[in-house]
Amino acid sequence: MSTIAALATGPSAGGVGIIRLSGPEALGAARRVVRGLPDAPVPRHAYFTRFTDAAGAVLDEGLTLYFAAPKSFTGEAVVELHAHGAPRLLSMLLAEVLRHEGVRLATPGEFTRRAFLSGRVDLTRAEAVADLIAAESEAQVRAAAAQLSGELTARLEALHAPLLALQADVEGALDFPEEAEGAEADAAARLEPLVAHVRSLLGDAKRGALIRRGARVVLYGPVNAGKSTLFNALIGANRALVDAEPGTTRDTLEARVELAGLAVTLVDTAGLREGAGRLEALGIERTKEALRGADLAVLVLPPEATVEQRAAWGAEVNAPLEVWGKADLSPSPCESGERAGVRGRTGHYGPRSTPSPSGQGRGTVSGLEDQRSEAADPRAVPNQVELVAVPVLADQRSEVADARAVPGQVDLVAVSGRAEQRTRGSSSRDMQGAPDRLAVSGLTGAGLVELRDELVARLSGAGAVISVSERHVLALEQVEEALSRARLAADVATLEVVAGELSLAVHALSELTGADASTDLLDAIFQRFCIGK
Amino acid sequence: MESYDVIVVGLGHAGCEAALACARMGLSTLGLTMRADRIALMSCNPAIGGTAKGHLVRELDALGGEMARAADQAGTHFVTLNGSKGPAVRATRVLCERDVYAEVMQATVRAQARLTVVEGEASVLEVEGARVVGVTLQDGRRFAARAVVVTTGTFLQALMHLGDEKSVGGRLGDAAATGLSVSLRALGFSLGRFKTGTPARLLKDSIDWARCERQPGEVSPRPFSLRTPRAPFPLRAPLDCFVTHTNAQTHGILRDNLHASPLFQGEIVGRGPRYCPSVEDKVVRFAHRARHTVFLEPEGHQSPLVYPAGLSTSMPAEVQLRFLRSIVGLEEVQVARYGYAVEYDYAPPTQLHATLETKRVAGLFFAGQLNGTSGYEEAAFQGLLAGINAGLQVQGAPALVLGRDEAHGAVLLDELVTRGVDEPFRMMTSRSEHRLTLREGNAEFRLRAHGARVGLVSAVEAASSAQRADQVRGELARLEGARLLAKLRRPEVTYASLAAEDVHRPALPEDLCAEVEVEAKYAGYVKQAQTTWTRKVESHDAWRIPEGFRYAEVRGLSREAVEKLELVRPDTVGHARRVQGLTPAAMSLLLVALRAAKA
Repeated sequence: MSTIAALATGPSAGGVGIIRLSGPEALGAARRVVRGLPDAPVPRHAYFTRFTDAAGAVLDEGLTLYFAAPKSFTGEAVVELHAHGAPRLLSMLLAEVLRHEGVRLATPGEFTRRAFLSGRVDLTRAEAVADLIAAESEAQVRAAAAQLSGELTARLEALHAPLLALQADVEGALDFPEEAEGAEADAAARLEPLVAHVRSLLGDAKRGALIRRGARVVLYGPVNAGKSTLFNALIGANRALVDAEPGTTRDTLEARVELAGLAVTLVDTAGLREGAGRLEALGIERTKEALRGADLAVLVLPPEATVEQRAAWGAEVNAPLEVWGKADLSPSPCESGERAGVRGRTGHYGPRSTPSPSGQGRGTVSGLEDQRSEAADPRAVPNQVELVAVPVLADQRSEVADARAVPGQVDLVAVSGRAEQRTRGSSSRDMQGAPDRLAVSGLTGAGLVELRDELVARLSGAGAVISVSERHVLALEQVEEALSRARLAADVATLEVVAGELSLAVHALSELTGADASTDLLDAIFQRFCIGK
Repeated sequence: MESYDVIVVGLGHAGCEAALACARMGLSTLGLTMRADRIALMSCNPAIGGTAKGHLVRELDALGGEMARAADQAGTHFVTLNGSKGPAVRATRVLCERDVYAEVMQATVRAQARLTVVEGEASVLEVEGARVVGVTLQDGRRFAARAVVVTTGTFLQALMHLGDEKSVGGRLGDAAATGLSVSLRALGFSLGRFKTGTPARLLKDSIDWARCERQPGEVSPRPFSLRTPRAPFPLRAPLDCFVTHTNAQTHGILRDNLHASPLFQGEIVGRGPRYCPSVEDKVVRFAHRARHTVFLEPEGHQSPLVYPAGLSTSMPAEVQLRFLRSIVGLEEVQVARYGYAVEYDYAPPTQLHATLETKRVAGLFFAGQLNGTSGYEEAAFQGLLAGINAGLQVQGAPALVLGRDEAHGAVLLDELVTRGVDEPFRMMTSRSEHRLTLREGNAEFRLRAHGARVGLVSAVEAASSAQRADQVRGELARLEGARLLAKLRRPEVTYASLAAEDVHRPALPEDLCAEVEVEAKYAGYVKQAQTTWTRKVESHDAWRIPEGFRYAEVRGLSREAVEKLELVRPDTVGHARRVQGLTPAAMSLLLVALRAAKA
């Protein structure tokens, strides 16, 4: 069994940052950065220690706790370093720990999985603790507190019942050709609404998953468009260094904010501009990487942006939210759209083969970005030191998440209280007569309210929001894929192929509903057909 | 005391396969039957095959079983079902001459070396130290054996119902077996109660055939068995089937007489199969249907009887005659034997290992209707596998347990021992997640090597199938090399239509051309299904669960889950995962506990 290590606290700067190690090498690896720990530390005792870099230079002071196997959260030897919550410091400590032979970075949820597999926590508790900790924001707390919502049950059933009926008709026609003759005749037509239904459900579930894990919003665009000013205005602090000189922001910066109850990680990227060279190319890659992980990309354009620039930037990602920065400088950017074309609502920006934007920004991704997997909250399990920090399946599909299929216990809720739908960019239109466009100024605060509303509207989307785990989103995706293939097969393949895809869809759906797919099918067949000789 | 390697109790469709398999594997075998003249009797409809059942017969044949060959000898009406719905669900059904089928199988049994047939009723299973050692008959005769296969069909504690008349017996004209039920219970087996039924038998000459719709069989069918020569075939002159329908008057007569039906009076307690309801059941449950189809199946060239499929009933004789005569074509029908229902003991199959050996008594195997199944084909496949595994155990060789991706028959066995039955179990292709690859057409490629391994298929036969499989693979590779494979995958292109532009094509037999086409066209779908289903197969599935594992001590496991697992007592984690109603969460807890037990 390898030793794993990870940040146990969230990625944003907080009071305390915890690095946790679990496995046989936990103590040895910790000693690479810990000074002042006895040779044989007393388990469950908090030692006041110094944290150093590889050369021995003291970086910080804090507590080190050691838990001997099997009396620890994971059942293995566990060491926790409680340092100050400075991201740079924590990333240096973690990097050094990971240099130790046999130590690797934990995958998301891996601590909980080890705890679960060693019998240290039961599944329900693993889930409950994980959910509670994941509930970083108001909306999450509401979602986690509620039990299976009537609305979601109804929507699943509205999909499940006609899907099962169709499967029964198709399978009936295959297994009982004489008794169920013709039952499959309109299979293709019956598949259409099912595909539409699951796509709508999937959309809502994906937005629900955003609420659960928080959304990543990435600001990008040409150099000196006012991204950093906007970033600072949105987080309400002077985090990004702002200067009138182009290319001031060299690193990507992150901050957690809460928008209408939604936990949002705001990412500011280096501005990019035309100009060849390897370093510029590197900068483009950094920004592209940030964009790939974004739930929503915000393209910030300077007032003087041309139609070509706008098209080029817009083509970088799918459907970015487009805003015009520095509204203070140019109260009516691009009058009547002659400099930049009028945006369609679906977010198509013209030809894909556009010149790559480039610039002098050469940001480095800040070190903690990839290690957001494990977070902790001491509120979760009071009075039990060894359980203080429990990892969370916060953002990604994890193996533990896969094991969490507790049918009927999916805590899903239709989240109310999200921002009301509003006409997109209405105030911009009123003020500047430029339809469908947001003009903002981080400096004066103009357009910020509208931008926040727009962000929330985009992230929450239209229709209901259902809060589900990533695992359930995955299951719904499988349902959607199988039904789409079934629809295609109904046109080009045989009935048995359609039946096979329907079966895959039903089984994926049963992971959500907890139904016994094969028993359901037999019941449905025998209810619908008079079979027998 | 006479001693044998294997004793097979009962020589119906399961028993014949078991006994023949053991004898052919070189073991001295005793077949016990209550009446030697009724060996391999088709007690209900005179047909072999159908959807999923045809698949089972082809699989049994590829493993070295006998049913397909007997059906070829006795067949008078061959049809292929689902011709247009896809090659995997395409299925063969053969209407047989009832008497001929039994005669053919009886002759095979009599001619089989090392197989002795004795008439008598097995009454007590002799067990020493949780291992079966022999059988004692009702009359006191005793036989010793190293393994015993029980295939008693519907005969355990059998009770027949015809209206309010009850009579003891497993089939009209036959007795019931009572002693064996007592013996099984004494050994600790639990037994349940099922019901099945059969329609009246009609006299051929009393039917007005001109008023019924003719349904001829195929002119040049493919034999069921790989061992039956392709020509001349069919071996017997064809017989046509006919179709007629019930009507409002029929339904009225049935509804007016429900009070006389033992089924609706609560006289019958055993649960009957939903896919084979009695006609009175159909009229009640599907009240909106204006008519139900009746298939009139002649029982043979020499037989005066016709089997009216779809009219199973246990109504009193007088009601049966009246509702029959309300049907078009049957206005003046004469009845040779009235329909009846039979209730019988079955042994819930969750008491079995995947080999069909009982968990309670080593060397004791159960197969066929005793396990709660229905249908000749389901019985025969179980009989073959139980016989093979009894034989392998006596030989000290490893057991034969097929994977769900290898055969519909494996799915049948897995569902039985894993999920159990709550009604008589009929095989359906929809139970198999690997249906697209489990075709009648490739049964020999899937299973003949297994048949050869256990000694039921000759080396020559196995080599022939292997060579044919190579031909298919070779042709697919050639098509790919010639850049024609992608074209063949298009919906509108067939292997035949491609011939014009494919000048180097080798001459392949017709059935192999069909295989090439299916393999090419289905490759994408099969891969998709395999990816999905194998993703569901966990890496822990092979973990063995120790015998006597205490589920009640698994931390966090619900009482419901404990009860289910205690009942089934799965052999492996994969087996446990398929237990009905077990949640993934319960599986995780079980994994955790097993890991802990290992450490």
